[in-house]
Amino acid sequence: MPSSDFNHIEESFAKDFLSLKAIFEFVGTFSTSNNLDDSQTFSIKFAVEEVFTNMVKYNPGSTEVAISLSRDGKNVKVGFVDVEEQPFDITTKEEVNPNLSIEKRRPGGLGIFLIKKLMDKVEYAHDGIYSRITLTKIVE
Amino acid sequence: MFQFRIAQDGQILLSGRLDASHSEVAKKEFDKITESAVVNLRDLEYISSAGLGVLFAAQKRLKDAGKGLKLINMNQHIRDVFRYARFDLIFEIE
Repeated sequence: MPSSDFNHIEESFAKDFLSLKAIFEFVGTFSTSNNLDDSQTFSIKFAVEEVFTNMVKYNPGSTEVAISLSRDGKNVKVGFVDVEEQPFDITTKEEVNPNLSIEKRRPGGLGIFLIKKLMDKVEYAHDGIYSRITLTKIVE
Repeated sequence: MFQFRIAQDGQILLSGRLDASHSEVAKKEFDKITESAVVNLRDLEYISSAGLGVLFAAQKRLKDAGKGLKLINMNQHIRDVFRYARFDLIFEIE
C-alpha cells in the first residue's frame, strides 16, 4: 500500500524490469513535489534503477522491493528494503576500472560504480532477514 | 518507451528511455549493425548501465572489425554519465 506526505513517499514494487516505468513515475512525483532539478532527478532515477535491477537480477528469493524517498533539508534519501538470505553489500563490490581500453574492459559493475559517482553516500545494512540500502543525494 | 529507428541518411535514431526494461530490444537492433554508423541521441532522454552495456557491446564488436559507432547530440545528463564511465575513451562523441 503506498504511503506519502510532502517529504516522504514509499511504495512496494514487483521484482520485474517492467516495474521500472512505475518506479520512474514514483521518483518523478517526488522530484516535482520537492522542486528537484533535471540533473538531480536524472541522478536519482539512474541510481534507483541500478539498485532495483540488481535486486531483481541477483536476489530472486523475494517478490517485491520497498522503495522510499524522503527529504530532510538538503538531504534526499532513497531507501530500499528487500528480503535477502545472503547479504550482498554493494558498497564493498570491487570497482571497475573505467580507464582501461575497450579491449581490456569487461561489461558489468558499471552500475554500482556510477551510483557512487551520481550520489553522495551509499549505505548497506543486513539484519539477517532484510537488506537495507540507503542512498543520499545532497541537493541545494 | 524506447525507439530504435534508422533514418533515410543511415543515422541510427534513439529516442525515449534506454533502461533495463528496453535493453533487450536495443541489443537485438544493434546486433544487426555491421558497418560503422552515426547514432543520434537527440531524443534519448535517459540511459542506464543496461543501455550503456548494449552500446559498449556493439562498439566492441564493430571495433574488432575495424569499424565503430559515432555518438552525436547527447543531452548533458547522458554526457555526464558517459564521462564518469569514461566512455569518451571508447566512442567518438560529438
